[in-house]
Amino acid sequence: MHELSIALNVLDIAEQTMNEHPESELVAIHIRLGPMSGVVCEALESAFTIARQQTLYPEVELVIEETQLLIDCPQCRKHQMAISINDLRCRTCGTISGKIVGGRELEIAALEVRDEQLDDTLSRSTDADSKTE
Amino acid sequence: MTRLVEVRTQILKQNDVVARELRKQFAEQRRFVVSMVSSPGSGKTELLQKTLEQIGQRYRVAAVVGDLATDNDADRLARSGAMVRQITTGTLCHLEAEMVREAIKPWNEQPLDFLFIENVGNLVCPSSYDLGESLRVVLFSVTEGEDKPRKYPTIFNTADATVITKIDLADAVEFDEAAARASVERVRPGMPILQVSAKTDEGMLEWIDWLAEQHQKI
Repeated sequence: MHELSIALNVLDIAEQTMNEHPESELVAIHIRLGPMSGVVCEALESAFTIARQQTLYPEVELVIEETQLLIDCPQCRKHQMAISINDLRCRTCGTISGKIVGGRELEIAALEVRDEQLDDTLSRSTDADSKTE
Repeated sequence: MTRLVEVRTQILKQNDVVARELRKQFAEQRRFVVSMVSSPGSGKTELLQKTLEQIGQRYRVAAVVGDLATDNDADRLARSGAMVRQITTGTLCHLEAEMVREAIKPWNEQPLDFLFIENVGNLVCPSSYDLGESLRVVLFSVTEGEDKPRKYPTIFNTADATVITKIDLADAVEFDEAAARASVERVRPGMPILQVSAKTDEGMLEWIDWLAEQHQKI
């Protein structure tokens, strides 16, 4: 169960990034997770709901994009999907490859933020629009 | 209304940075660093004790050993005569690069040919953490079943060699060597596989020679 450490790392990085955006509110953290990352999605999700309570963002959501396991197939001579993490044969031709080119991802892709000021401006302009109508 | 701020950062960036620094330091010191991972009870400590004794006759060696709560392993390893330090991880199920860096500080000025890192007994969590090692060796014993590699593909895939341990028990448990090799091959094609018994010394010489050979490559 290292997912709690991972969740804390995610929140740490998010907090550091948010320091550069003091005008924004953090809504969600988008991460990319490969099947060969060593991290289990469900375990990370539950760890995250615990870990976020100790931060400035107790409500922040975690959005996980699961990436595919890709190998460089020597037979097809291109990147192909592997059968599974415990069977690194090419899904198309069945040739085994030790060269994994995708599926180890364990990264934060983006932070989803809401800008108070921008929202204010927008709602004001919407008000103005409705008045014009 | 929301917008996306692109981050594109490795979640374990902090660990990766320390691991990279360690790897650089090890290269400068010409230290060959072998980390050992396995499930609990597969014979890491026994093999390491024997390894330290035997390789210690030819090289300057030291070991750090991770354990959740006790320092029994360090005591056992110290009997080999090698320098040993314990990392007690508490509730943490794996070692991280920073823990290794802290643990080996007293040896920073010491000339060492080999440094062994025994990870916490766990085949899942250690796979995500680079420790700056030159070589990651994954162990599994004949009593654990031939399909272990396919049950824990990530750790086997991140390893550089497999050592099958307790081969003195192979017959007793009807260990199917071909099946075990095929299982490794499916998750990490081409990975070297060695077989040892730390109890009877079978395969120990090959293992020690193989390590020495890897050391030559640095």
